[in-house]
This record gives sequence, C-alpha cells and structure tokens, in this order.
Amino acid sequence: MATLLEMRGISKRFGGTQALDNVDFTVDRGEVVGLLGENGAGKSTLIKILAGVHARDQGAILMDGRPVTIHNPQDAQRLGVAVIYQELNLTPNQTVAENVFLHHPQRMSGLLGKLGFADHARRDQETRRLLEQLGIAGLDPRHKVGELSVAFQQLTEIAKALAFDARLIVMDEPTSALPDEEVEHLFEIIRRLKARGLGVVFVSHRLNEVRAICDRVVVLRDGQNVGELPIAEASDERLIAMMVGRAIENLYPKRPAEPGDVVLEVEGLTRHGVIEDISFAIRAGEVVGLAGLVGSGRTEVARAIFGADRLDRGSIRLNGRPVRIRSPQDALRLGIGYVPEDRKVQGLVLGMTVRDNAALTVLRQLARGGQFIVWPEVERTSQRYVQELQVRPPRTDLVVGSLSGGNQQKVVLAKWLAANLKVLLLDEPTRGIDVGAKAEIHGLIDELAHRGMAILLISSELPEVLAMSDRILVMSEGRLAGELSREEATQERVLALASGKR
Amino acid sequence: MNTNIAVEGKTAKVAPLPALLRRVIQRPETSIILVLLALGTVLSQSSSVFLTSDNLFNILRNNADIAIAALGVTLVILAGGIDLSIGSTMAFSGLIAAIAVSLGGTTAYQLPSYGLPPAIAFALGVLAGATVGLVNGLLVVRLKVVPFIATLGMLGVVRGLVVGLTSGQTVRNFPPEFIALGQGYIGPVPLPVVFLIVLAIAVSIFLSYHVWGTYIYAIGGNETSATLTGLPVERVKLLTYVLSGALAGVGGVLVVARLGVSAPTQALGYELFVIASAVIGGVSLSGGRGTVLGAVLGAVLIGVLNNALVLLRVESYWQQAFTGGIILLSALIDRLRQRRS
Repeated sequence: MATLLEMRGISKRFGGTQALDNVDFTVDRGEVVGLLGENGAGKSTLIKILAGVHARDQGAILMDGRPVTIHNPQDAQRLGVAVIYQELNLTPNQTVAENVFLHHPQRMSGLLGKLGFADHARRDQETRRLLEQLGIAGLDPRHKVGELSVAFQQLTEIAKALAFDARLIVMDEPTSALPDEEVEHLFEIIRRLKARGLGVVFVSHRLNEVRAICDRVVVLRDGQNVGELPIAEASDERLIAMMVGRAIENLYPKRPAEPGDVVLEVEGLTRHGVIEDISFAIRAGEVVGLAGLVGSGRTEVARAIFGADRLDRGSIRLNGRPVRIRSPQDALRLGIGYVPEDRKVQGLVLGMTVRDNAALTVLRQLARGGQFIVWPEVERTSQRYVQELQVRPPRTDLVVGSLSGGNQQKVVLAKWLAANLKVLLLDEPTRGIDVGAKAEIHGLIDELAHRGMAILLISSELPEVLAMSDRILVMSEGRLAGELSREEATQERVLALASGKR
Repeated sequence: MNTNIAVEGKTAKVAPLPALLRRVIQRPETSIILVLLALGTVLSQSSSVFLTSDNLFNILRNNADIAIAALGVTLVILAGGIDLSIGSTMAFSGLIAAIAVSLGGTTAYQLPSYGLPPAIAFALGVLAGATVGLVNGLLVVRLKVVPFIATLGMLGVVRGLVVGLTSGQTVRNFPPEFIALGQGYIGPVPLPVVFLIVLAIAVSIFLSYHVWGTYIYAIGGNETSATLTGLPVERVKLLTYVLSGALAGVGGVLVVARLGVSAPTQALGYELFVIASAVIGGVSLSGGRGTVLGAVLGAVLIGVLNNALVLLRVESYWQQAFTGGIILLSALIDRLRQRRS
C-alpha cells in the first residue's frame, strides 16, 4: 500500500507545555488508523497541525511522498484533508444542505453559475444523495441544523466532509454522540471510503470500536508516540497500559446493589411529541440505566424530572410523597441533581474557578443568614470535594475551562455531591473522557449508590450501561420499550428493544 | 498557564515575577490607572489648571452621576444583559424628583410642583428609576425580549414620557437643601462624590460577598449552566435591571440637583458614557467578567478626557466622537485580553 500521509518528527510547544515531542505518524491509502491517547496526550494538537489550525514548531508533513505546507485550514482542504471535530463546526441557523455545501456551493449552469449564483435545488438533491450514502434517509436536507440532535448534527458534518472529495478524513471522536446502531452505519461508510482508497484517521476512546474498524493503532502519551500495534495484537489491556502508562485493574468497578426503599417514583410522564407515558421507580442504592437510541427521549426524561422542561402530564413522588417540580430550583431544593450531557455548554461556568463552580449549589447554605458568603467556608467545602474526587491538579483557584475534560466532569459531580442529594440523574457522564478518569467516575457512581443515593444513568455506551446498572430501562421513540434485569441484559437484547423489535 | 511560566522560569525570556505582582499587572484596572497617570502627567505639563484640587474635584463631581449609573449597568452587563435606557431613566428620575421638590411658580407653563422635602423627592426619583428598571427586567425575563431591544424600546418610551409630561418645559426653583445634594461638600469632597464612594463600596461588597453577587457572575458566564444548577436565574436578572434603574435614578437626581434644573433633554445620550465607563473598566460585554472598581475608574477616565478636551481648548462638539473612539478602543483591548486567556 502506498503511503498517503506522512508526518515526521512533529514537535509543538504551547507556552511551557510540550504538546508534541518528535511525533511520527503515517496513514496509507485505504487504511484506517486508530489514534489513541488520554486527553492531553496530544491527539488534538496533532490533528490541528494537520488541519492547519496550529503551526508546527518542527517536523515535516508529506502527502504522497511530497513535502507540503499547511498554513491554514484552506491549505488542508485543498490537499484533500478533511477534519471532523468533536466540537462540531456547523452554522445552526442554516439548513443541512447549506452546511454540507457551505464551502463549495453547487453553482447554477450557464452564465448565472459563472456569476456565482448557487443552484439550491441541486444542492438539496446532492445532499440527499450524500445522506443516503451515509444510510440516513430520514434526515431532511432542508431541516435547520440547530434543531437537530447532536447525533444528526454529527452526521451532517460527515456528509460535509464527503462533499468535498477529501482523500484523508480525520474523525475526532465521531461516535461519542452516536448510538450503537448509527455507529454501525458510520463504520459502513468508513469501509466504503477505505475501499475507494481514502485514508481515515479514527480518534476514539472506545477500544471496542477502534478494534472493529481500524487496521492499525497509534498511541500517544504525554506528547510522544509511545508505539503502534496492528489491530490483531491490540488487546484492551495492552492499549490501556500504553495509554495510561500503567495497567487499570477495572474499568467498571461495580458492587452488587443493596436496594432500600423507593426514593423516586415517576408515573405517566408525558411531554407531547417527546416522551409518552413514562413510569418507573428507583430505590435507594440502586443504579438504573436508561438506554435507547439518540433521540429516543432519554435526556428529555431526565430534564422533565429535573424541572428543566415543562410536563404535559404525569406525577413525581419522592420518598412516597407527591412533589411538584416546576424548575431546576425546585429540584435542587428537593435533593435532585442533574449532570447534563454537555458539560461545557450546560454543566459548568467555564470562566469561573473550580471553587465557585463546585460551591454553586450550596452557596446559600454556606452563607451567613443565607445572604453573605463566608469565603473560607466555601473554600473548605470545594477543597473537600476536590480531594474526594481527586480533581487534578488539586487546586480550587484554577479556572474550570483550563482543566481536562475528565477533571471538568469531576467538578460538575462535585457541585452535585456538595448539594447532598437523594437522586442523581446522570446524562452521558463519561462522554469524551479518558480511560483513567472514566474508571474513577464509574467508581464514584458505585460509591454514591452504596451511600444510598438513587441514580439514573443515561449512556449511549452500552458496555457502560450494562456494567454499571442494576436494572436497565430501554426507550424507543419516546416510550419505555422494556425493562431488563442486570442478569437478563445483553447488548443484543437492549438493542432489540431500543430499535422497537421485541 | 501561569504555573507553567513559573516552572519554566529559566527558559522564559521575561524574568519570573512574584505571583501577586503579576496578577496585579494583568488586571484591567491597572492599565486604566496607568493611562490616568500618563494622561495626568501630560495634562499637568500643558495646563496649569489641571493638577489643582479644585479642578480634580470638579471632574469627579461632574462625572459622579455617570459613575453611579455605571455601577448599575455593570451589574446588568455582568449578568449577560445590557441596559440602553440609562440616559432616559436618569432624565425621568430627575424629573420626578424635580416635580416633587420644586417650589413652583416660575415658568410660564405651570407644571405641577409639590414642594416636598428633598429627601422624599430624592427617594421618589430613585423609585421612579427602579420602576423603569423593573419594566426592563420584566420585558427581558418574563416576555423574553432580547435585552438590547427591550431597553432600546424603553430608551424611547421613557424619554418620550419625560418630554410629554413636561411639554418640553423645564422644571426649576428648588430649595437650597436640594441644590446642596449636587453642589455641596463634606469637607473638601463634593457630595455627589461621597454618594459615589458609598454606593461603589456597597455594590462592590454585594458582588463579592452576597450570594447573588456570585450568581450574577455565574449567570453572565453561562446562563444555561446556571439554570441547570438550580440557581434563581430569572429573579437575579430582574434584580440587576431594577438596581440599574435605581442607580441611574440616583445619578439622574444628582444631575438635577447639580444643575438646578430638570430639562427634558437632560442626560441625553448618557448611556454612551455609562456603558463606555463599564467597558473601558474591563467589564466584558459578553458577561461574567469585570469589577466595580474598573467601572468607576472607567468613568473617571472619561471625565478626565472630557476635561482635557476643555483644557486643551478642543471644541465641545468633538467630545462625543472622542468618547465613541474610546469605547471602540476599549472593546478592542477586551478582545485582545480574551484572546490571550
């Protein structure tokens, strides 16, 4: 196989941090290369150098054996390099088709086309064709992107990359927002791209996916290439050991539950067109998984319980007593916490310190007379949770935005632990978080359940739901499609329920 | 980033500074003080009047009303909003206080005048301002009107109210105790400056030590997250608009007391100066970042610049252009600051 991309001895420094140190990286034509590494290992920097976002300090980039210069994203596009970032790069107020062909409008034929007039009908039609290639016929090219779920937005991004005939496609955690069913679609596409001789770089934290689609795996740690393996030799243990630099004993530390009394009981929760007639109960000390495809209404169930969205019908009981939750304020007062799926947009005030974020839920309790803040008290409280959750670095005066994803998520959790909850609703608590931090957060979920908290765990990652839950509820199209005990639950059974097959 | 530089002290080109000193230097307030000092040095060279205590206190007195209103708009901006109705609110509050306190009988067109005690007139003026703020807040919080539009609308409505109520007439003939609010002194310090200092300290303490002060920063920093954390977002935002209106009210009454007259065009366009004070002082228009001290210093800087234009005999017609230019400049500095962090 001929080498498509070769990056040689790439180094990059940000201030005092050596982000990349003499990294070699190659991709052959028709090859899918997995790029692995914990957050901060340098994957993003390497990708951004390839994309022309960052300039390298040292090293060379070759395409088809010829040295190339990539100064900006336009250069990268011209060379046929498409990067699909985790933080999607779409204009929310425009339609799917407008986004897909944003950079190379489909021109009209004849003079008008030469003058720069675009053919909207053809654009919509081309987009539909691309979407069909991706195996998503249900997505209307004329739909506004901002109104789509994260998953559909991601698919739009992929269509956008396909639209510019890229020869090398870099996907930064493309599956983190996709349910398993759609992950399989994506893999289909990747295989087709591969057959056409394109190179694909697949960045993911999910080792089983990397194994399912990649030919070769490259692992970065602390800005260095610590080795690569052909896929046949890449066992979980070896990969994790390479990524973390030590062996992780157990990614899913889950002890058997000792369920107590029913804490949260919901009945007939309905929000027209979104969720229909949802009823279930969670006992103290129980972790209940909520599985289902993206868009099946899992997040909406959590938001409805938390008072973030208005309910049309349904009742909620807490410790046997009926409660009315009309806002997140009510929920907090009753001891219900919600860790949202997007920690940067919904979970944290990135510009504030760890201290302020961690204490936000209990500021009033810590204040003299509920009014005036006693800062040493706030400091003590946040310090306690920073220690308990092992936030790194263990400092409360840092701005939250400067922490890694895993540590940011720990601060979100700290905020809710401080609030002394009865019920914790977790929405994708480990999305985009590296393996080490993931194991720690799983350990924390188990610990909280053992202290008697009732936990609802929403996750698109089936192994996580299966391993961490005592019971699993499966949603399909806004309804509860079924319930499985820990013993009954398998990937196949959950998927069958989720896709509406029984 | 800071720690990295400290760790890499040997290789960094700049010698490592003590952490405290570096933090002081990086603050936006520090740069304003430096600009003020530089400006002061230049002005004291070119004008013998500038560095007299009379002139300096005059600058402060004449700008205290703007600075006080800037305290209020700082709260709104920190919470992620904006208040464009400041100038109109100041005029409205001033008018209400003027009508309440006026002894009447001097103008051809007889506006009502009640001859109430100055303290009560003052309170009524502030209350009028707070009411405008309440309407602003309700438009934003309850009816979900974008703050820019809601307060732009109120800018017009309230100014129209002032002109309509007075038919374009001025209100005057105030008792000397009322005039003293704007023109009197405590020791060498003009009374409006005393008001400013007391209010600035109060607002500063509120922001740093009251629970809602931190809520304001959290809401301005990320409103979605603040909502999903169970904070009383709507009530806090409402409060910022009410306080902004009330503080503009204080400023508006002081203007009337200082000038001895309430005119329908009073404080026209003051929102420009007030918002500029906050922005120059490092209050980020995207919310969540900034301090009271910065906003006050920003107001002082604008005052000194206007004074400089007078002392240097630049025609007053040019002042607005200068102020506008300063806003753009400070917005630029705000951008640079954000990019670096």
